[in-house]
Amino acid sequence: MVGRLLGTIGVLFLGFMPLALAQEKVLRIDEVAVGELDPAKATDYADSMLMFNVYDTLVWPDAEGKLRSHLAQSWSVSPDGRTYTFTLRRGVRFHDNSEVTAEDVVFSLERMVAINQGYSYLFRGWVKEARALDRYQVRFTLTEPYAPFLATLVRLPIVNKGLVLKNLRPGNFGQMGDYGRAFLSRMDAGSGAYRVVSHDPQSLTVMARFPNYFLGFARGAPDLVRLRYSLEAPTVRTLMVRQEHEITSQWLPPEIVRALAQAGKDLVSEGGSSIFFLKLNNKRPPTDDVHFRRAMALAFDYDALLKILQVTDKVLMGKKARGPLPEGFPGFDASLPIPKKDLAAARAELAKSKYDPRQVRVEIAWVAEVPLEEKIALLLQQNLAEIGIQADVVKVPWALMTERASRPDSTPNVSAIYVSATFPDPDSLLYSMYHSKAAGTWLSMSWLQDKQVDDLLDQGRRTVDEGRRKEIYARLQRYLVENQVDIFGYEQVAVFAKQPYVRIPTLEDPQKQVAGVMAGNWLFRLIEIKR
Amino acid sequence: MAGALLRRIFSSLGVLFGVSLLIFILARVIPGDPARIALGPMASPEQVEALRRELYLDRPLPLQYLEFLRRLARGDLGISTYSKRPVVEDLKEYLPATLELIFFAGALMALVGLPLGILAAHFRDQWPDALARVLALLGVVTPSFVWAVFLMLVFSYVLGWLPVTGRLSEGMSPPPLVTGFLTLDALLAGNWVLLWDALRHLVLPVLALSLAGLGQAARLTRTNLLEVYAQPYIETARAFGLSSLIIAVKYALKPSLAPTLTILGLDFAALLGSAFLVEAVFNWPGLARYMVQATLHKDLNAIVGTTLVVATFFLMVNLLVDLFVAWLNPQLRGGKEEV
Repeated sequence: MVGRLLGTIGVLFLGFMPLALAQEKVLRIDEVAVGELDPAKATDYADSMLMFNVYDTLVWPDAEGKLRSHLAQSWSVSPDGRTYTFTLRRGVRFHDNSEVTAEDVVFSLERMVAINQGYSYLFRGWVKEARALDRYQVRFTLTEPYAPFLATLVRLPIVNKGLVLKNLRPGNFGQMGDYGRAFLSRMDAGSGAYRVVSHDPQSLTVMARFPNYFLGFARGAPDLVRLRYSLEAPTVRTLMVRQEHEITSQWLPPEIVRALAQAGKDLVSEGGSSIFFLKLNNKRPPTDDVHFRRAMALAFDYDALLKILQVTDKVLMGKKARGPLPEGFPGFDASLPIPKKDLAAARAELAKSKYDPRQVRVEIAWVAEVPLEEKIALLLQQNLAEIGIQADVVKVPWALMTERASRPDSTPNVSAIYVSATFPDPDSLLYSMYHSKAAGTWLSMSWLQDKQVDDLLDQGRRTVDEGRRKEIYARLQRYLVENQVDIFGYEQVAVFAKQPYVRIPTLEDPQKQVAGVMAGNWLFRLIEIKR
Repeated sequence: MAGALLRRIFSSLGVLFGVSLLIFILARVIPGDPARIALGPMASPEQVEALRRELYLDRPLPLQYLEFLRRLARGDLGISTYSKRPVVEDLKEYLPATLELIFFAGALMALVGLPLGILAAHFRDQWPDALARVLALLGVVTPSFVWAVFLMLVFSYVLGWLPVTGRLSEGMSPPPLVTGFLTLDALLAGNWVLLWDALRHLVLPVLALSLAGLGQAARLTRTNLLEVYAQPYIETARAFGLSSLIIAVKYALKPSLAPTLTILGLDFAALLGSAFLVEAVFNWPGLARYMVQATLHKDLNAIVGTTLVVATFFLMVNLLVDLFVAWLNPQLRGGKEEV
């Protein structure tokens, strides 16, 4: 009896103790919900974190944004730029130990295009045919030359065809049923460094190391990763102080990040793929006038903006932007001038404008879900008042902003928005924002519709030669800056707090940072936990 | 009584139908295109149009509603554009977590709130009464999310006694699924370690969620009990020399409980929808949080699905409370008055 009692007490006592994780290295990190596990439906930051750790792609960018072999050992491009042939590495295994083959690549593309969600728009309409030439060779034939194609492949994760076919449910895709949508929303069919143990898109995904991963792991890489979703700021702070959380998301309020830094946590940052724009409507008075736009840009206080973004003495959530591409991004033109406030020049430009500032009002819209944008909108309003331009600041919910962006007359004069690159190519940012064919979305709120810009963007897509492409995009960026199509606010720098015992080489070493791919630096296999 | 009960059940079905129609229309008139929101900022117009077709949003509203009813009859609430999974699967996963939370919170509201009110009434205008009233008032006026942050600060951040997030500690596997309540399933499995761990995870969110209702229950019990104490039959009982305890338990408590229980029932049912802030703070994988996120993402199917669940729960709890009140009050029995 006494023995049983002692046993029970012992068992209960164990309940108080943290679980025996001493042997197992666990990485706990958070992001905003939801975590979309199906790579054909993924779009967001958390989705990308899952995608790059659970699945593999044919190519992967290095620190300079150049594409290197990954699942593909080598590739060749036909002289007309329409055919891409890839040879796969041999012996790469999916999590069920079957081998990655050309059939899986073809299936992954067909599945993504058929489901028509996520990043399917990168391939739909461009890829005429995907064919497995043999077990390890796959050929993509494009409808027309499309130079960014290689870069878009970082958004084509390869799924295990055999496993998906075994788990089809009834659906809208004929013989393919639901194309494995139900299955892949819960489990994975990848070959990545981590396999999914459990997945709740609202609160937690648990991933375990896949020991047969073809690229191996860093010393001290986590055995288990717990990706938590939508933690509240006080919760994260408590977990960090109790050392029950290793890395925070980038969405913490600056005061919490500051408090964590004061509590001895390290801050690391990631840049190179997002720009904050004050989009100027080039079709609506008075921002349809180039001199008026230049006057606004010259009146804007870029230094004051950086003060808003300051987290600690050394860490800022942004840096000055020269143009529409972030520094280090493929195609970035470092010769562009850094913008600065110059009231005299602003007044001179305003004098050349066809509008009398006393007769017009400017509407500045900020996205209701991003409170930081209100501060920036108010700063611009104050700056414009210094040169006599009257402005109204309006708060617009995101859902309404996208609707207002559908017509030039309903798009605000100024819209505060963040734009992130999807794949490491200038086309990723520039085409969707400035080509006439892309008009009517929130990305193209400038309503540029300029033939010269369209021609340059089309040339950029058709030109396969890297050197010539660089020249084209440099010309384009200079044209956009000179015509002040937008105010290029700042390059967004995401700040994360982490435990001192964690090392993230892709963020701590600038030479290893991947530019141009959202969440591309979160390769858990390279993270080192020294505890 | 049975007839009244049947009438009540039929009228509840009518209410559910009305709620489904109302929320179906309301969800569709909120600004913003659900397909655009679901597909993310980079989606092409063609993708948005395809998803609109898949969600039947390209059809007239009456046809959309008929399609919804047709699917509902098959137990299909459609796909959630927020979680990208069938809404029914989401409900199955998240509902038990919230139900477990609010059942414990409801129990605490009743088991602590009612005795606190009785104590306050018994020691009217003495220090136990003052203390109980201050505690009750503090519970009522402080929002649950403030309690959540405060309790976390004290018991997790400073003292480090209780866990911060989730339903179980890391590395612990849930017990075999029977009810979806981890405590109950752990008990059924005879796994005491798991039971203890699940209980420890429940302490802070349950406290945060129940303090407002607990205060309300205490205040109502005190007020109603004092009213009953002023009745002539209590004076008569006192004149017969019955002890305070017998008067309180046998003669005063039962009639004073009816209004308290009615309000407590409503408070308890409302927890299902209002627990989202507490669930957010403690990263509790529950339905309330899902419901709010679905609304923010304009996830039409999930909004309708969760609203129907909340409405059904509300109606069920109300029915049970009314039955219980009828049992307490003889005037309401035997169909003399509708339950």
